[in-house]
Amino acid sequence: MLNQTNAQPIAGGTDLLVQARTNRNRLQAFVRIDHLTELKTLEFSKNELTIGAGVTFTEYLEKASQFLLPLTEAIVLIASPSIRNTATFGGNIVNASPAADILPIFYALDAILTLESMRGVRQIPVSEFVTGAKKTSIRPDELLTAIRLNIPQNYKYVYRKIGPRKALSLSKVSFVGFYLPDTREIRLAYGSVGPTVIRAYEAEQLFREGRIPAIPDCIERAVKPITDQRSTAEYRRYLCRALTQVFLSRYIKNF
Amino acid sequence: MQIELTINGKLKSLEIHPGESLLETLRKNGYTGVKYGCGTGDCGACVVLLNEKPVNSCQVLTAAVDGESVTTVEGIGTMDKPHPIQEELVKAGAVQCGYCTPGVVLSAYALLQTNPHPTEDEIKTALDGHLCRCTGYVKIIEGVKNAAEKV
Repeated sequence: MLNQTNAQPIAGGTDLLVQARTNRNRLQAFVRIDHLTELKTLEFSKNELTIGAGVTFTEYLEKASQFLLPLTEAIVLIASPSIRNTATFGGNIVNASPAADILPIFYALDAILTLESMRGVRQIPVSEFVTGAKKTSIRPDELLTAIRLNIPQNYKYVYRKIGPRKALSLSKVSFVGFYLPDTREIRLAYGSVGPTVIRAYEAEQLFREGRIPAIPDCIERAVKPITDQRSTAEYRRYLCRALTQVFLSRYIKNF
Repeated sequence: MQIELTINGKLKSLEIHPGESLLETLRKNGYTGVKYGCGTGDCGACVVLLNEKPVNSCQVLTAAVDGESVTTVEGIGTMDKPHPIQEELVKAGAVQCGYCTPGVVLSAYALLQTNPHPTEDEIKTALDGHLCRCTGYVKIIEGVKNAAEKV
């Protein structure tokens, strides 16, 4: 069907219908996908988590909340129960908001997305899929069907969402830091401080080289926050630095 | 287009516009307990139960829920026979203008269905999506807590 029309797939609709209402001039056609059981996969095997694009946040919390605690922490803070009951993983990713709550964790764990069309199946890292604020490399005939990621054997983490209040807030900054003791690695990802989520590869490299005191400055250079109605660029940059320090001082000796 | 919905336990056949939200459909058909607040999913005034779970009816396309089951506040209690949640909200002084109340009642109802003895934190989480600009939340939470003891 996606092949023959310019219709957009719709699952929970919690973003799409709000956008449709505020943009009445655009003629909009939707193809409903929320009833497709093929998109409802939730699998956990050999430290790999596969989440169907049509899984709602409530379904995740009911069935899979114990597999990946930082993801669960992030999802509990998404919007409100009435939104979590219909909003899906696929929608949150394809909507590609810089403030998308689940993206920092998917960036930090190098999640792989499965996209399907009549022409075939392709797999693409989430960081390549999202190309800008609200922009992705999805083709018009493609459907995001699943998200797959490896869960590290041992890890410590800090997840923080900084917003004006606990429920229903869009983040000023969201942050996740992973410490992987087996490989002596860290992973750092920041939301709402650039057109896409920012993964701090350079700072992760500094950690590998043992240049830990240089990391906070490196983070300040890596993030690209703007001033908007939710916060200022200065405060967001300060938060990124502070959250990184919280993470490092919790898990790294002599920081 | 023609669709079927089970509303408050009764099967209804309804004529709708394909782009219509569930909020619009319900209000047009006399279920005015469903309130239009923000239209963006931020306030919770339009919350109804869709297959027993709270959803913002402004964010649901009616055409997409053909054949499913909806509960509005009209299906929870009546003026003559209010539900204990409604009674306890009144007793606690948790209702002033009443605009947020139908949504609050439905979210509280859904909570007590799955969790008859919620903690205060669980009540707060269940009501996260509801804005009240009159009484504030202390009395609402108190009302739900008292209702939990009666239900």
